[in-house]
Amino acid sequence: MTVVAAPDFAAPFEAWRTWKIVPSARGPLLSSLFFDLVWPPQVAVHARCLRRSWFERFGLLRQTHAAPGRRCECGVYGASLEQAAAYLWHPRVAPRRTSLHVLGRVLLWGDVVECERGYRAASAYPAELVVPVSAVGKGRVEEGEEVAEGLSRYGVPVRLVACRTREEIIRAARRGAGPVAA
Amino acid sequence: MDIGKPKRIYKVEPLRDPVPRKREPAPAPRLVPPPEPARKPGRVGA
Repeated sequence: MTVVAAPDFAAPFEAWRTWKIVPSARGPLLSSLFFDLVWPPQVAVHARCLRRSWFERFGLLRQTHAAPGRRCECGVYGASLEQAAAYLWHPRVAPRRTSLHVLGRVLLWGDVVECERGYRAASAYPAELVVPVSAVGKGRVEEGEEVAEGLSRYGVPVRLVACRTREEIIRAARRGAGPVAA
Repeated sequence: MDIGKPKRIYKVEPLRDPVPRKREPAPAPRLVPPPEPARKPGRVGA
């Protein structure tokens, strides 16, 4: 696996992912499900390897690598719609879920590692956000509407969809989406 | 997220910035003063 200097693609890859919503003084923000990484509005997210920090803490590793590393698990993740929607109910998340979760298409660029069921990328920004209500997290319509309005700061289409099951979310998300590479 | 083993690395350099441009805030509405009352005809201003 080698990275050549000339770009392979001149347009970002598209995939799906799930975010949790965290409140802020200026409105709701997208945040990674498993890391304390907030995605600010209208600013690209650039990956860095967090595992490096863990190793460095114990003096085990001094070398750094740019994310996404091939042998690492770092990078901004994107996957298929079905897989991303499954994380709305992921057992690692569900027991302590206190916030609304949203699904969305994500643009990935920079060095992008294609994996068997998705991508890990150096840079990312959402392309579209789908806010499910009535079934996920607190799930109240009012909360969903408020979150959807606040997410408009990201400058991408935001859709509010009423759904009770994962299949309903997937159908609703697919209806409004263009072709996705993952 | 379990996305499986890596297959290949691509170099992706979008021609256009994928991040939407910051929207300029709308200019504050200007207060338009009410029109002055019409002067009576035949009078010359002081």
